[in-house]
Amino acid sequence: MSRIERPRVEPGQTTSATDLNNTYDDYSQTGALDQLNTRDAAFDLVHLTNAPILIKSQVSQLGNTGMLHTAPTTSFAHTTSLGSPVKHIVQDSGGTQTIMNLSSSPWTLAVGDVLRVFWDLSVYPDTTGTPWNGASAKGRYAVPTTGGGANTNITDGLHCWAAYLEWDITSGSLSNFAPVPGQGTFEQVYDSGANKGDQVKNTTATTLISAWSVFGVGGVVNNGKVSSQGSRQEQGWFGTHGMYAHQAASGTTVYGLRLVFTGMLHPAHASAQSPYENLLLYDINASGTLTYKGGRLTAVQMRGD
Amino acid sequence: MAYTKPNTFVDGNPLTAADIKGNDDALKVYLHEGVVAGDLKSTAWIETRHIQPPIIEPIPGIQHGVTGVQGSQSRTGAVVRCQFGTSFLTAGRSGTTNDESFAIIPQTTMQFTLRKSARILFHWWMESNNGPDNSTASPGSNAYMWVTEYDAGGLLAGTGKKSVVSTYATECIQNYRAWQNNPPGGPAYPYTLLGYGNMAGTKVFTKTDTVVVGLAHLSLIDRSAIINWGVTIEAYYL
Repeated sequence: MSRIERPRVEPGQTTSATDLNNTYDDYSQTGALDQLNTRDAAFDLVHLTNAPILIKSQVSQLGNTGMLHTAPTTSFAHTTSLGSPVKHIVQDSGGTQTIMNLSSSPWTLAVGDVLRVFWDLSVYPDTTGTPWNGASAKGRYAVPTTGGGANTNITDGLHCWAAYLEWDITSGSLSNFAPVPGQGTFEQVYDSGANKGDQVKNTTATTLISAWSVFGVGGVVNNGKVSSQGSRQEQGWFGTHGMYAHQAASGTTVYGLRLVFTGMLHPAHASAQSPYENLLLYDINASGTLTYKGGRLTAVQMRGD
Repeated sequence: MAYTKPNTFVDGNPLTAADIKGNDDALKVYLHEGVVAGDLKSTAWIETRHIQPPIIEPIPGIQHGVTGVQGSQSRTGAVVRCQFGTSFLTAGRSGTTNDESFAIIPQTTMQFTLRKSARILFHWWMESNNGPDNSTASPGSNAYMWVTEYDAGGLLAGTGKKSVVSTYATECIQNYRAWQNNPPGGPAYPYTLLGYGNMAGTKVFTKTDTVVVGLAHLSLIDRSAIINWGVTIEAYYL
C-alpha cells in the first residue's frame, strides 16, 4: 500500500526547504500502490495494456466461388485400394488447392495460446446403382421380406465421406502438411491388413458426410421384415461444417491450414482390442463420388493466459 | 510517468507561490492519470471487483465488459421461438439469386455498440425442415434454402444497408422426395425423409462502432420451419 505518514505543517510551526522537498517526494513510491489504494471498479479498458486477446484471424475461400450449384464444382471418387486411400485436398475446379496460406506471416503460437478453426462447405454426395448391395459391401444385412421368399439385402446407411484438418508447422514451403493434434490419417491397419482406417477417438478435426440415403416410400416394416431393399434417394446439396480447437503445449509456428477429404468410410467396432474401439474403416467395395462447391475456412489465434 | 516534483526548494532562497503551484499542478496530473505500472505493487493484486463490471443486457442477450462483448440468442427455454424461411420474401421465386435477394431471418440479429475497434466472431447454427413444396415454382425439383450471415453499418443515413457474401452461403434441400402424387401418397407418409437441414457458420470481421449482424436467407422453397437455432457473439477489443 502506498501511504504518506509525514505529518502536515500546522499553523504556527516552522518548516524548511528540506521538509517541503520531502513532502513532495513522498508521492514517489515505487511498486507500492495496491488494492488498498484502489476503489472497486477502478480499472477499465483504457487502463489495460494492448496485449491482444485475439491475436490473429484469417478467412480463406474453400473450393469454388459462387452460391448456385452450377459450374464450377469439384469432384472426386471413392477409395478403390487400401494401399492408396484417396486424400483429396480441397481445391477449385481447375485443381488449384484452396488452403489457408499463412507462410508470408506465420502464426506463432506461444505456450497456452489457442488455435480455433472453423469450416463450412457445400457438398453433393452421389453414386450410381446399388453399391451397398455388393457381396462385400460393409453394412449390408440380409433380412426376411414381408412377402416371404428369399431374404432382401438392405444397407445400414452409415457409409460416409470424411473431411479433416491438416496444418503445416514445419516451413513456409507448405510441403509438410500433417493432421492437427487429435486427428489421425485413416491409415491404421486392422484385421491383418484386411481393413484400414482410424479410431473414432482420432477424429477430433473431422466432419463426416453421409454418402447416401436409402429408404422405401410406401414400404412397410413388419416384425423385422421389409417389403423391399428400398431405393436411393438423392440427398441433393447440403451444407457441412466443422470446428477444431487446440491449445499449444509448446511453441508452434503455423504456416498453413487445409481441409482434406477421404472416403468412403463405414463405422466398425474393434472387439479384439482392449479397450474396445469404435472405428471408421474404408469400404473399397462401395462406390460413389463427392462433389463440392465452395465454403470458408476461418481461423483465429487467441491468447491462452 | 511516476511523480517527480518539478521544483526543488533550497534553504535561504525565496519560497515562491509559482514553485509551490508548479509542484501541486504536477501532483494533480500524476494523481489523475500519471500512475504507471512501476508505481504498482509488482505481485498480482487486482481482483475482479477492481475491474469495471460488465453491463448485462438481457433482452438482446449480451454482456458488455471491459475487453469486449459476448452473448447469444437461441431457440431455447419455455418460449417457442421457431423461425421460418420462405421463397415469397426472398425473390427466390423470380429466380433472382444475387446478394440483394437475401432476406433477414427474424430474431437472429445481434445489435450492439462498441467502445472502440473490435474483432468480432459471429457463430450460428440452425436445424430446419424444408417443404414439402409441390407448388408451381418448384414441383418436385431441387429447391434449396441458402443461409448466410449479413451485417449492416451504423445508424447514420445510408450506412444501414444489409451486406451479404452469398458465396459463403450454405444450403439445405427441400423435402420433395416424400411428396407422392400417386397413391399411396400424400400426408400418410412422412415428410422428413429429406428436407432436414443442419447448417452452421462462423463470420469473423472488424467493426469500430455499431454492430448489426445476423442471419439472412434466400429460398426457392415455399416454406421452411427453422426449428432450432442459435447465434453467438464474441467481440474482442484486444
